[in-house]
Amino acid sequence: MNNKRLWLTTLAMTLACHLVPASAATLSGHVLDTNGNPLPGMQVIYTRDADARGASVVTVFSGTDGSFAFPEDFSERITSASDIGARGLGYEQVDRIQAGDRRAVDLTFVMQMKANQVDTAPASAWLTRRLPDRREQAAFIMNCIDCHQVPGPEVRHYAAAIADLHAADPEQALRQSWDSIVKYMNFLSAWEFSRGARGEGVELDTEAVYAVENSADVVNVMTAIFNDRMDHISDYEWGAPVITTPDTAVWEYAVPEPNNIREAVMLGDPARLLAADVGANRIVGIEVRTGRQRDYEVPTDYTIGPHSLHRGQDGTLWVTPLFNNTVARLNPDSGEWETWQLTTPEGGGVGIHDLSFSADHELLTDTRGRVWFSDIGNRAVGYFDPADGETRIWKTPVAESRANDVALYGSAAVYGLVMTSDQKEVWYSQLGNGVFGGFNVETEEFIGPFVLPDANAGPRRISISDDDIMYLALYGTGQIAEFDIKTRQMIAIHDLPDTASAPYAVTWDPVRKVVWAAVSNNDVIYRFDPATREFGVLPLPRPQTFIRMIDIDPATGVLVASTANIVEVVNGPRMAMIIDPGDGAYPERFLTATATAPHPAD
Amino acid sequence: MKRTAYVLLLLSMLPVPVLAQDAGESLVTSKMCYACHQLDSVSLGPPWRAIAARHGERREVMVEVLAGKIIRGGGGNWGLVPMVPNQRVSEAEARTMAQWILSLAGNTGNSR
Repeated sequence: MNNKRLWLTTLAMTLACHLVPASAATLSGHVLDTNGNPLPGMQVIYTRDADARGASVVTVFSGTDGSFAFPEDFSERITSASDIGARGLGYEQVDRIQAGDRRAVDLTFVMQMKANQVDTAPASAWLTRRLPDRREQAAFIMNCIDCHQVPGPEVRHYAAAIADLHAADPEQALRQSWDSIVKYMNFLSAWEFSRGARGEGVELDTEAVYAVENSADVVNVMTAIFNDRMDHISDYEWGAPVITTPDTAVWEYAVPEPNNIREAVMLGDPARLLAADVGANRIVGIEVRTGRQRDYEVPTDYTIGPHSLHRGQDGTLWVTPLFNNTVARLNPDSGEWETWQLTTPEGGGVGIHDLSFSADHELLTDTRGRVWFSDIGNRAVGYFDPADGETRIWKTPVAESRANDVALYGSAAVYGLVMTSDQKEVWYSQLGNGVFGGFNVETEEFIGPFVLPDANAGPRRISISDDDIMYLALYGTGQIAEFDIKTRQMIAIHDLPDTASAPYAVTWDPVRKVVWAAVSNNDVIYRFDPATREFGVLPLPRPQTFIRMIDIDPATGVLVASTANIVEVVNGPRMAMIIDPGDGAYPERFLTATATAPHPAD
Repeated sequence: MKRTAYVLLLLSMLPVPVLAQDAGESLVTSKMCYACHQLDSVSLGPPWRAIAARHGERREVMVEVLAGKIIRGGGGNWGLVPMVPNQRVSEAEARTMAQWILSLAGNTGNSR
């Protein structure tokens, strides 16, 4: 092509771009049953092409009349080949009818009820059926569900493979096979968590981090309950009303693999999802509007394994590591980092898990500007002073009734942490022995400890309301504990709608005045309303969601979270996500196209 | 371009089995096969050298059979423990690994 033709072609293409506006399609329609009746609460999931601008997957929900509408136009052309489908517990899509034109696509999905819910029931459905004893259930969950759902599809397929052996001694085949799987998973978790350091020739320690400690107990349970092909389950129900509306939407952003995405928040202008990759040394940044990704490498010459994220009141991001002594702070707009390597006056290290945060879910220091942290390694709480790095820790008192009952994880790891609104007390949870307590940062005295009924209660990430009510996610027993810090009294311990759902974290919502529970072993988010003591269910778009801590964007009220499947062979999603509950609690509807997430103080 | 051609020329001079062996040995590490297998000793699964000894004589067919086994997993004749599937391994990668395993037949040297 000569230069003149090239020039003319370029001109023609440029004009064409200006004369024909980019097609922007609206996408709406209905979800019906096979008799043509409207089906409410069904998900309509649009998985976009890899090069699409913005979210990788967008999901909306049908209303009472079966109608749905995606909140934003799509710039790409939507055809019958586009990956759009409907999903709902106990239903299977049998037809999809496309009408309308390319500017206004109208889709109708026809769903058939399916007695076998094997494709739509969550992992927890199997545990509640097969391990109904609550104590056994809690012990198993505490051992097994740190890295992925159990029994997720991979576990169930393996159960089928054992059954297909038709072994002369089925019990022996089950026991040997599940025993092998536990050892296999220990290797894989060590592999995953060494990703950031593997290039340095570090030997794998298969007993590290997420190794199953009580493997004999775990194998016993698996042998007893995962003992058939596991390809049929029926009559599972969510256990509470579905709270979605036609305005509910979920935007998922795929994070390139390999990754060990652990949790995510939204910050910056333009708004970015910032996701912690615990297997490497980075925060993955994803621009909400464009989907453009950028890695923020932590500037340390060793891997900290970013784990917990806390929004700062100044729009920065505080990052704590997986079990080591480095705290980092990122300015997402400039990309600049600040790091502190914490050492106690005695020269000891600390294992930071959470930093002190407030009812707004933002970092909250004490009145002297000191940042408090939970120390998972020393069973302690402590502070560091960002001004000079001064660090001190206080070992938590032993709960006498649990003194001989700390088999889980071999310790009573201090896990979650919150700070009271007067900045005088921090409160912590102890994952391994079902204990929690407080610490007065002025008098330097502990309050409690307080003992939960089950040693396997598994209090993990905790939250505090603006009225200093503390909520604890009880991972093992599938509950939310509601504790009044002012009166030092337990208000109540609430069973989740599914007690095998393994709640990893609870988050106080300061505008809606509700608690959101992120669960590991079910594909939903629970909403708990303390005023009515009622739960609601927000089903998420896909199996194996394995969601982690939920943050609430203060400007828009959307929930921000991520999936956290952290063993490579698990085919679960690796997504950072934005969830608009669609409840009208905030004046303006969230749109990714306009997301700027300004801080309220701006 | 010149450089690429030069590299390709050099590569073409190498005996193909050597390349496949190196690639296969490297893949069994990167695909985490050591979670269950070792070269000479029984781990959760059979040693690779034992697999090679059993199937090494029918190499052309067994490359395909073993590659399928690597991807699909399932029960076999090495005991009561089914192999886990490896859905993230491609057919080409599985074939390369199978070639490496079968190349161990009669090879008693320590290649790792």
